Amino acid sequence: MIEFLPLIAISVSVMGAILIVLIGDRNPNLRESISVIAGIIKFGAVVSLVPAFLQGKEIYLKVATVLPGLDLSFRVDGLGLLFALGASFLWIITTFYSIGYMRGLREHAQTRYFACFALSLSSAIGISFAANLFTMFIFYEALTIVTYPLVAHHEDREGLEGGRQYVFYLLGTAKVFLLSAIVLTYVLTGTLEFKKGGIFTPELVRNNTLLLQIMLIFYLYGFNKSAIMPIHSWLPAAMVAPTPVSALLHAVAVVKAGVFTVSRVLLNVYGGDAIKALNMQDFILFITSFTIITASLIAMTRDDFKARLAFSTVANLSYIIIGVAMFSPSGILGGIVHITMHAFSKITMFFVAGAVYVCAHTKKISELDGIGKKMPITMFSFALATLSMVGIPAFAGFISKFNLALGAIEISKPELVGVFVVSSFLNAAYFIPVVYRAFFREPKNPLKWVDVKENLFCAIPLFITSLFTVILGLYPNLPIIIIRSMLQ
Amino acid sequence: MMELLSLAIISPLLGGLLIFLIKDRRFSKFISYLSSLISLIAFFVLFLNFEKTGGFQHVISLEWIPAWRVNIEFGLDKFNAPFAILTSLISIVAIHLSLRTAIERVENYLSLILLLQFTVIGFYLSTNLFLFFIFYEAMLPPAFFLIYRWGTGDSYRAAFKFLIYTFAFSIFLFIGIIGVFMAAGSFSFESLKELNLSLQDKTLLYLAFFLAFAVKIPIVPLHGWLRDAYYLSPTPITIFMSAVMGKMGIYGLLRVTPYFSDVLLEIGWAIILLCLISFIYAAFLALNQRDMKLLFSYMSLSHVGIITAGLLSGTLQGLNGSLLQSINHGVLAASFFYLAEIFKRQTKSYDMDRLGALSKRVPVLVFFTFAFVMAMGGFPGLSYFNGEILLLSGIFRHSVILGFLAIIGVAIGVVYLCYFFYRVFLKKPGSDMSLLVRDVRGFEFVIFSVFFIITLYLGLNPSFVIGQVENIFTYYGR
Amino acid sequence: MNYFSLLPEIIVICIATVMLIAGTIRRERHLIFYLSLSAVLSGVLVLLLINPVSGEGGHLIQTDPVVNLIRILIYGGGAFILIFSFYELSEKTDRLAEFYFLLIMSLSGMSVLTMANDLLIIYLSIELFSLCFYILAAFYREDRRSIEAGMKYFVLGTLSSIVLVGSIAFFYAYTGSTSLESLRGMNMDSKFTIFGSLLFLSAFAFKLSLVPFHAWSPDVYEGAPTSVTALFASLPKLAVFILLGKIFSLAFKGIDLSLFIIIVSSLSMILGNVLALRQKNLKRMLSYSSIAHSGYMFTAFLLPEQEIYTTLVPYLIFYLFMNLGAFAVILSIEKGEKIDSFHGLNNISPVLALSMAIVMLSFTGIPPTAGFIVKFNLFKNVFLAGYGGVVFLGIFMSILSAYYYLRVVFYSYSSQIAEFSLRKELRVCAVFSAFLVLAGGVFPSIYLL
Repeated sequence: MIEFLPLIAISVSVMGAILIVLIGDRNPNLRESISVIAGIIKFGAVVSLVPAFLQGKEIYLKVATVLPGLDLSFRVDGLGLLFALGASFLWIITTFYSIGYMRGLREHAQTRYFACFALSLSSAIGISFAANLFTMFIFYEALTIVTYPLVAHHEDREGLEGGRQYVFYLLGTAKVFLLSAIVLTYVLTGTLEFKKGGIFTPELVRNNTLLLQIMLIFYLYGFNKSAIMPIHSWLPAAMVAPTPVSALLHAVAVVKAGVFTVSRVLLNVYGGDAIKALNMQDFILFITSFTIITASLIAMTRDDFKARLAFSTVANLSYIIIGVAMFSPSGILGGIVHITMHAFSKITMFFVAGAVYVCAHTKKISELDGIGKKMPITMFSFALATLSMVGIPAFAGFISKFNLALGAIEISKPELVGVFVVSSFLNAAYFIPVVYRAFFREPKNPLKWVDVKENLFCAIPLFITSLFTVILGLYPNLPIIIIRSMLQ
Repeated sequence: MMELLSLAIISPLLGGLLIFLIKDRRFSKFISYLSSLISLIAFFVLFLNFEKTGGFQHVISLEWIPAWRVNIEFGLDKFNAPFAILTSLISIVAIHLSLRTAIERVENYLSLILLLQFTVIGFYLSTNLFLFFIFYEAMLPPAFFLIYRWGTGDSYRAAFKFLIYTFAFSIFLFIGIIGVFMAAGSFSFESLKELNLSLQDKTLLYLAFFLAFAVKIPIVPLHGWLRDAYYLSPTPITIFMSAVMGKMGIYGLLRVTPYFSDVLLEIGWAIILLCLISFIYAAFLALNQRDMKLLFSYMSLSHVGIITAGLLSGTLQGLNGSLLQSINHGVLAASFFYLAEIFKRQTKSYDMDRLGALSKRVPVLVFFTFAFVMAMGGFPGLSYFNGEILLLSGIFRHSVILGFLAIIGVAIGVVYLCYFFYRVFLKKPGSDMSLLVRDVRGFEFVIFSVFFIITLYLGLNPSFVIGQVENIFTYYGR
Repeated sequence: MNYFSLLPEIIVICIATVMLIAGTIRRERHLIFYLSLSAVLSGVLVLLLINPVSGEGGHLIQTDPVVNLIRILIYGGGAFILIFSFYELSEKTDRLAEFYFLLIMSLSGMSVLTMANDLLIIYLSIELFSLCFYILAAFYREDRRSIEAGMKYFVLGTLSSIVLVGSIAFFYAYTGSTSLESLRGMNMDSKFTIFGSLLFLSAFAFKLSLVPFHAWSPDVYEGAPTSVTALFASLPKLAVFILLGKIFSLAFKGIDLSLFIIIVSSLSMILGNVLALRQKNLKRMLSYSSIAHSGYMFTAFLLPEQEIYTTLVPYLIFYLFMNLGAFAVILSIEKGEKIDSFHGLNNISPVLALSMAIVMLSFTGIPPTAGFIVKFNLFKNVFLAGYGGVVFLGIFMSILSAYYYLRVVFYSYSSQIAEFSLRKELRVCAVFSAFLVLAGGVFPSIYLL
């Protein structure tokens, strides 16, 4: 029975989406309650997998065998479970926030919005429980397609352009790089099933070194949702979307799906031994480090709130990959935990950016002087998230960064610690000014924020997520236990 | 079972002759539906009742020309059965679409379509090379009448080009067949197994077969007839040509290629390269099209390129993939041309730039188009992806570099499909032409649903068509 | 001398003479027509019922079942020509009896030619039908083109007769006999032998209008009355090809003439088809097409002797019926020799249009017509005999021919509304030929041995 839980978790939001479309604009309240209910059921389904998983049960479901070695099947493991937990939990919160945001701005096409939202969550959960590359590829592509209407939601010139870039980069890389990598994997091994320690035998690695190196690069850039530089420009371009979408994209589903898939490939397709035998570890570490530093530097130059957050996301995604690519226990732990930790911090920040836009109608950081007095909860949450992002102890970000640094030392590459330290400083350098402006600068025009009031539909969800950055910082046990059990 | 097979083969012929003799409009409609439906059902029943391994089954054999040891012989096996079903299915769609569009002298038209169906089915099911050749040529007269008489614009030129190209390159088929007869003393497909030829002669023989089929598929640079023939024909005929007749070439190659694997080791890379160039070149042609029907024509041209390339890789995956993908492509190409015809009927034009902003007006049409675009774009889990992954595996197994070349074409394929969808449905502001577009309903809804269900089903269970992948070489007896 | 074999000719000529006398006394066209028809049909009947076969060796004439089959076809085809010319000419001329007499004499000449076993008989019979032909070609005495055609035919024909006589004299000088069997004793490698046989073949190549001996053919075809053109295009080919087949298997057995055959047939295929491409006059077009088809058939002489007949005879039979069918349709249509007259034929007479389509498809060599099977058979055998190049050229050229043959079909199925009168009587001939051609395509085992 428990094998069907992943399928239920995936299909519940598909059902939800169908119901949402059927109800349509006739009854917005019912439509949004369905979103929430579906979210809760989904979260419930995922959570109820945890005990079974911790007991070490094998949870595996084969739906169909398409071709030999090409199954549609699901398996629950630590990595996926953690990702699914985070995504399904944040969906509930994002739904509440979306209600406030969409109603606050009287956005059009809300039915489509909620339906696509539900579908994108299905895809994300599908990715997390996929037992092989084929299944993962299905949901990965589905995720790109169902999020397109969300990115292009405004349907204006800018929106369509952003959507075009989004689809072009993601589908294009998936077709060119990912498809060839997957086919080559299939050709070489005859299977696409994930396996602990990788599916490439040492002999295969010896005989096809160059090919496997190229394939690895293809995997890294093919799962382009991870936005490793230099193919990252779709991510800032996709910022034209409504803020809850950006939050979903950047914190929960899309980019996390990207790093998740990359981690899967590194851990369960290649495996540490193969990567080391191919001499590709340094390459991955280098491009990710480069991405971290460069993206952080670019973020400093951006005045648009969401653009700054976007580049910060680009940098943080590479944290996760760098951690996984270390292939040392602490490194992997740090990397994967960062999926969750970063999710809570970043979603808070996006919620804040959206709330500021809904209430004060501004997108520029330079215009935020003094807003903290009018929106205290919002900006306080932002401050908490900032502390987490920078990696102050007792906050979520610290857990991951600490483990990452440990991992770097375990594989005796102290220069990576340097990268983390520098990037943390840069994090501070581009986030703390926001807090500073909001609370400690007076607006030039004293009457500027007179009409501004907090929107509680927005403020409460983001406050909750910011609290989680603290909670996870203080009690990081659950994610760590899950990952440890996976690593054994 | 033999009677059933005879029924399936003969019913289009009988239907066509009946319609030709009794020139009555209403009667001809009824008969045309009936005869192709009988054929479809019979083939389907046969398909469910046969083994996807082993040689020809349910063989019908009539003595014909004893001097050449040639019999009129039809049989089903793993390769031709799917094509036969596809042909009957597409015929029904083509007949239905023809009846929806007002066509003059519909009796003659229907009888020709049925005759065409008969010749194509005969081609697929024949078990010896001579009959195969006869049907290959016999297909020409009905096809050129249909293009010429019911086509638009300069259909005279289109029909002639089609005819001359196909006919001209049938020289090579003739030479191939005679070559086999010379080497093995018989026209049967079995005799391909026992060719006692030097590698050089075998290469020449294979090239003859390849050239003959390449013009039918077609492969660039032998595609000169395609644009006019596809574009100017009435759309039902375009559907038939692209979905079924283009596959005749692929089927032909599928029949002969496995016996020439030693040749493919020598020259395989060159002809695969040619097919892939065709694939990419046609994709680029499609990229610039604003005319829906031309876009789909070039899309069809492009996709058959990779199907052939995969086939020529001579690998297990490639051969199975091309079989599977031919069926998938047949179904999807038919649905795309059908879509184009729906737009043409309602707006009187194929121009994509004069549409747009349709997504909210016609939800059902959008849904189906979107599904077909996704399928054709190789969305995993839908039918086309399975074929694609097999074909690509085949090509990659043959040569990694050629595989990457194929991937580029696949990617361009996604781009023009997305452009198509964007321009027709999403682009804003829409033009007033869009207001003319109505949603699909009735029988068309049924047809689209059937196509959609096939796409979904074959996405999850391609072995319905191709059986077990491993079986193919045991079939060829090596 | 075996007069028994000549029984059909004797009967036919007797009835024809009666017809001529009766016809000149009473110019009653139906009487003339039926008497002539009965003459020709009695020839067919005698051949069918009695089937006179002569014994082996030593005769001036010699028959066997194949030759008799061809004679049946010659008389049968002659009956068709009679019917054609009756409808074409009976109202235009009052000299019908003379016309028919000449026609029947030429048929007998051709019939004798097929049986000939002696060089002199060959010469005599050729002169017999050729002289008739010259007059038939110029039968429209008022029409300048007809006169010109007759003159041209006569002058060039005489030239070829001289060549033929020369070669016969040459052989006689060399072997001391005119019998075909005696030619077998010639020294095969001798230059004289080869020269003589080349002269001999050239004379026949003229009759078959093979390139480069074809110059007379288009003008004669165009100028002569259409029914006479139908005669020229079909029957002499039958007779001459059969005779050549006999000569190649009897006399020229060891002489290597393959180069000559290849050159002549290739040139004929190329020139015939290429020149036919642009013809707007159907009679001219069919003349070029007959050049091309002679070219295809001539390649049969590359085959080993036992295969010549089995390859050639089916081709000849269906070539005859294709021509008869095509001319029947042309004659049915007012100004039928102009290709533009065919526009919209289907709207007036679907039966004629379909017959024409079948015949033209057969000319082109597209299944399911007999034209495909016989052409396939011919090319297959030549290919297997090792002359792949000629075959390749032949198929290529027959593909080219699709353009001009099928243009007629296209025209007749165009949607244009046509307004012209039809001669309904010949429809039966057209349908009969088309049916035979189609049946031959579906049941080839009857004639493929």
